[in-house]
Amino acid sequence: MALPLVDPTLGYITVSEVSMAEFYSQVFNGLVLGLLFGVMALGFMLILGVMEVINFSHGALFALGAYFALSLQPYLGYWASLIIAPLLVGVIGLFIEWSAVRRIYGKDPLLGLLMTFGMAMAFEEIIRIVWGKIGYSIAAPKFVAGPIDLGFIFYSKYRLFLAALAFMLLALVWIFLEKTPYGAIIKAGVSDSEMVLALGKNLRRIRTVVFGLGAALAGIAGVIAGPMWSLKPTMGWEVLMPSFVIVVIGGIGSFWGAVIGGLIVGLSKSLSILVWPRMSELAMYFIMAIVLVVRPRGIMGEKSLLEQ
Amino acid sequence: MKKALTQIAFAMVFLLTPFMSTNLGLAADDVVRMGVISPASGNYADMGAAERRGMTMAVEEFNARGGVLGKKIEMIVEDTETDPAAAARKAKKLIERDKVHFMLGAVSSSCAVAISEVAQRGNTVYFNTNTNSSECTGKHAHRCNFRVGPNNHMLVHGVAPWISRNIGKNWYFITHDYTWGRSGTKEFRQILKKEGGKDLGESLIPLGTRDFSSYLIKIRNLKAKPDIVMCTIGGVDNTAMMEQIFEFGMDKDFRFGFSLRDYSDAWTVGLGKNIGTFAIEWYHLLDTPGTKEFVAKYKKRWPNAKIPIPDNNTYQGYIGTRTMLRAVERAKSLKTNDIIRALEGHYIYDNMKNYPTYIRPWDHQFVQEVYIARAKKAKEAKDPTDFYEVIGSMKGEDIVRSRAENPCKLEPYK
Repeated sequence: MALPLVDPTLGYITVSEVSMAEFYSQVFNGLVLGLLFGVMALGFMLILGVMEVINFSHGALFALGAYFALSLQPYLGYWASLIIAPLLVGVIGLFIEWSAVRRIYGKDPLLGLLMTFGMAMAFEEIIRIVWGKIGYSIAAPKFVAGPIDLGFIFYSKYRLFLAALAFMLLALVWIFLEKTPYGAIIKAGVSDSEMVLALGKNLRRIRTVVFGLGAALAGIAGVIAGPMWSLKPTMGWEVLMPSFVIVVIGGIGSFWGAVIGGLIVGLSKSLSILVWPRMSELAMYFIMAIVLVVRPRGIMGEKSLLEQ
Repeated sequence: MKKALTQIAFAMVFLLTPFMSTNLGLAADDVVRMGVISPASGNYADMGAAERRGMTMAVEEFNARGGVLGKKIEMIVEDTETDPAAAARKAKKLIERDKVHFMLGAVSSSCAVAISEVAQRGNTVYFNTNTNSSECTGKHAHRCNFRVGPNNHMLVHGVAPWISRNIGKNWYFITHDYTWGRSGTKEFRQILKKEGGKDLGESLIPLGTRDFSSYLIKIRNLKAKPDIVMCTIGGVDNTAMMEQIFEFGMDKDFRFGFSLRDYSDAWTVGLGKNIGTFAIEWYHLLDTPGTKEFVAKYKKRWPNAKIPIPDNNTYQGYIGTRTMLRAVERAKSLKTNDIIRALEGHYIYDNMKNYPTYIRPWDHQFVQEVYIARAKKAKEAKDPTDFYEVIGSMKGEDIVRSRAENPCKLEPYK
């Protein structure tokens, strides 16, 4: 199919012939990445909803998950590390909430941002000290290494595996939020945390648990992404900004908002490569800007980010 | 008041101590002091250790024969910390306090630039080893500074013409979107044009990108399949890209070209997980005179080294040290100007390559043969250290910059 193409090296706007195979590949790839972004954004959104804290250390927690897995895998194997590394990150999340973050609830949101930003930088430096500044490779488990011919496209086995894992995780979190009583309390907390307190629920504990859950989600996203993207100390920043943008696009307070927002951001990156390659990193910001203007509370949100 | 005065007195003693020992530093004159300024911490610590192993081997060879000019050689080692400011400080210390007769080392180009300026001001011969930036023998060239390894220009002009003549002339580019990446692709493009090749387009990758999948999908679906994809992606992101190339199976039906590969980087990634065609300075399995003996000597001397065979960093450390010490012997003097004169225009015949290395007098670049190599798959390796297949070579004089291309000016002899 014929698509416009903006590429400065060829001469401004030309028309390029894009094969259906490429189109399908990019769409598919965008959706897969979108699921991973969705997992990250979900954790970010829960923390933002329940505690009104913009957790800038989310990316660093993602990186920690990957690095823990790197250290644990030689001893425990892929599957055990997949479970234990995020739990460790969750514990770290619990710790930072208990020791630092809870002191700024109800105060100026800027404080939360600064505090978590500082933590992000501290974690990044700790990673450098413990594991070194160089990059690392993690091997994908043998049964999903290498490419696969799906008939209509050529794709990577590991990414299919990743999509399946992300899908399962999202399903688990959904079941937790929708079908368990504790999940219902958290959902209520995301909507209106003060009312939850007024109803006699232990808001303090809820907040700690939610921060730990959010951290664990970031950690497991890191473990999954490790074999695909390799490790380096700054790997968290590449997923932090998409999390933020997804929460704005999808809206706070909605599980499906995070998921759909994630898919939109994933698709925006991969589809823009077909039309305007240099804008692929910026595409999600354009969409965010449009959403902010047209529907500030996001596609499925209950309250706007700006109303916090 | 008394307490304050005591505190000030102590502080002054501590502050002045380093300076007090300077002039009392009685440098014995019956020893030749060689300064080694090389990374022992930071990103390049492993490469620093590798080059020091080569240097130590050369020094021990000379000391076994009674040293140089009848005096034993002593190595005084300092850590650059892979930081230019620290490197400059330590170089200064080596020259002023330890009174070294000459210095070698670097690995990091930015450290080398800083050290060479200190060396020029301190009038001490300095051999820049294991760096690549062409500026060290260009814009930042100095009379006291010599560069032992090939520079970026030589590597790019070694690998690119070879690829266009032996692999194909239809190139696609993957460029890291910043100065180094763009200038690398620009040079590749110039060479492609000269060779009469076809430019199939470019993917500009924003700095910090971890996910190359969309770009790789695009390349896989290109209408006109490139003969080779020339990549200018820096350091750590290279590992991520290679991981994803394997993931999508593109190592099987696409070829990738790089300007350079350090053996220690390949070693970290692992046997069978490297890809591509690239330029290298030297390889331990080359069939050139002297190589087998050198490898055997290395194995005997360093049975527990991190890398069990000498790599390109060790080679440069060894050749650099040996060349410096031989120059001192030829000059029959330890004076800087005598050593420089003994080096300029000199040919090194036993350099373990097919053609001798020439030390160019007007930019102090060691003009040497460069090899083209292909990363081997795991099943092709003859032993666990066999990462490369050497598939070609380019002569030094064909790939260096001419005087017109490199208008550098060295200071007059002091």
